[in-house]
Amino acid sequence: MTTKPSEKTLVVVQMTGGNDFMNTLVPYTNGHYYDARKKVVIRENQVLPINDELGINENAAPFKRLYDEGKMAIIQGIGYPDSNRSHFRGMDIWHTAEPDRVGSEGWLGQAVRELDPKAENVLTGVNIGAGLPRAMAVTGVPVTSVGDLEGYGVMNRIEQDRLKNMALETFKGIYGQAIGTGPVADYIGQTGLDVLSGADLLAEVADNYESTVEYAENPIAKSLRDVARIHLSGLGTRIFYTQHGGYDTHANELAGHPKLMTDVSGAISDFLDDLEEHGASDNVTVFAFTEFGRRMRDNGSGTDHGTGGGAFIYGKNVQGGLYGQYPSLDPADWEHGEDLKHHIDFRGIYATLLEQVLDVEARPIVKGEYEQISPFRA
Amino acid sequence: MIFWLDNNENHKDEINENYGRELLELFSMGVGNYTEDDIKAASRAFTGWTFRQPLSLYPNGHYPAEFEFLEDDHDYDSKTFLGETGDFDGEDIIDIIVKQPATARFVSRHLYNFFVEDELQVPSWKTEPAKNEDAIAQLSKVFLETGGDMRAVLKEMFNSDWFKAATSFKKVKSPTELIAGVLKQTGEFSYPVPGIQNFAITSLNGSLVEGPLAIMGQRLMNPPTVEGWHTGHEWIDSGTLSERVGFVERQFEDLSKPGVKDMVDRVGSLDDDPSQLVDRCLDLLGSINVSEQTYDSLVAYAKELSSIENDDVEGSVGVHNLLQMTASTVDYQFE
Repeated sequence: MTTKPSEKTLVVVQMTGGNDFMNTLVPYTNGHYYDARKKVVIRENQVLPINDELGINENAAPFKRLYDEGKMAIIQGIGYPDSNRSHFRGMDIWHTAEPDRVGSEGWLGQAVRELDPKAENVLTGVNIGAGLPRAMAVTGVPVTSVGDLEGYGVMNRIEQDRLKNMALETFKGIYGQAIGTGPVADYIGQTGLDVLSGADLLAEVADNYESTVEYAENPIAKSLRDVARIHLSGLGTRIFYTQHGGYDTHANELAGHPKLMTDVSGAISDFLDDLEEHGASDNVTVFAFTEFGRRMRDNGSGTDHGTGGGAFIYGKNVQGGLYGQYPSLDPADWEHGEDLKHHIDFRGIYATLLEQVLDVEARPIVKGEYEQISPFRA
Repeated sequence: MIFWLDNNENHKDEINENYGRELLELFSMGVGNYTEDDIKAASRAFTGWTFRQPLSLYPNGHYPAEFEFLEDDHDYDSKTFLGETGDFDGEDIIDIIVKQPATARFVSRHLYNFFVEDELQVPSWKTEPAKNEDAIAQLSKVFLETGGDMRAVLKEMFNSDWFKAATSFKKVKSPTELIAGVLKQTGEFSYPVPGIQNFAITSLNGSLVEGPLAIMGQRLMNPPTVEGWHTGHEWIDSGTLSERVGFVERQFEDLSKPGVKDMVDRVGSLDDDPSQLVDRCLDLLGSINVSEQTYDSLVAYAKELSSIENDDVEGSVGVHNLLQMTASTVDYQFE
């Protein structure tokens, strides 16, 4: 079941809540920015400039390092037409790549189906953290979700071999029988069987892993460390997914956003360093996205839901730099008179990742042709 | 709610839309039934609604918050909301909201989902029919006739035939429901003693380990987003199912817990008729209905346990293993 470590792998980091792109990649010399952001503003002396116009929020210093090393591609002005300002509809749209109707199949779940059509490896797609995102969910496509790597599996406290084998057989029988008795029972039954297959594979992961990289103690760092541990065990996982919450900064943004920047940038750079230490960094791509950007004008304490956000691609294989153009900050250009315009359709970025990282045909998943970018080294 | 949705930061001159938006989207009408301008008007109407939280007299005392309306911070200008125009404040907005058929339907569907049967996930409600359209129509009618009187709507539901008929297991237990149910059965916490908080401990509270509730996907008082949790079958994935099964395994293996000991005594000896043993386990764990095949699997397991027990020198095999397996079934995930 193990695979060549050379297989290309995608790691998706969901920044849940709508990250404030303008305060992440700050247009620190632009007067329109300071006109719109009276209070929730990052000043010139709080950025790490990458050119004369844009600087990375100083709390995300590891991103500056990755950018300087050419390992970070910044996708400016990503979005879709008539961007939805609801978190939930917005996130659903990103999860299913279907802005015009309520889709039922996650874009990455569909990719898992293409990568492993006979469902031979339940670890082809792995979510880290409790709660499977809809991006990974497609009926009948097994994906593994790991909330607690050390405790993963069932009946694993029984020590007596004969009893343990009998217990596992009975569990398998009960969950197998549920399939075919209704949609929800089908799903739970299949999930039970997937646990059994996944547990066998994951049992040794924790023991196999050693690293000198010391991840910070926060949820996203813990999650990406788990990704590293599983990836480095060579179990054939092609898609990892994890979430980092807290980006819905309607209030007290200047108090809360810096820690998010510190945690996510530290976790991603530690993760890449960890892979590098193990000689496994050539084929891993990290994609970080959020459901929307935030409003041009702040509300005095935070920022309300907006459009025109940004996304990021990281990795040793990445051709670092800026992609697309920073959305115009001139009020005359604002969408609906208050938002940044998007220039790059997120489905084009999905297509880029599907075809250039996973070698999966994008068109049936993103439902059409969308312009791709070329963010990888030849 | 005011704090959670930042209305204390919603000021006359600096509108914060969080409360206005989520009031409409999550708590009354559902997305698609109002415009962005309606959100702005509602938000303006709630300016000045805030709270104060006087310091406690005691060093570690509770600081109860009190609602406060700040006149100086309220936007008294005219607003247009859902087609009506006037100098609205928050209560006027709520009066308008409860007149809307969309509100009646949305709230009724939530009640049905909570009390009767898992519905589809909320984003698809706009396009997908309800599980029981007649029930939703019945509740919506009462909601509109009474101006959103929840007592009347609930009374209608609890007295309806479809509510009384809904005895089969049509809802997936939330992690809280599963854990609370098991802890009630193990009898370990029949009165307040330290330790129960460990079940709900999370990394978000500074702990480096997470308790079973968090691993099953529910950090109490700390949902992943303002939407709350995705419920129904979305409670279950391979990681959360691992923890559900692992949790009952850990809880029911400890015979020193009074409820476990009591259940083991009441189930009887592994030498008894295996079908009777299974019947008693199902009954003790909450009158669970299982499929015929699951029942047969449990009976076969009971037989095997009896045989293993006879050869077991350490004496660790017993009736509690059957309780563990019964609480690990697909059916046990439902309520």
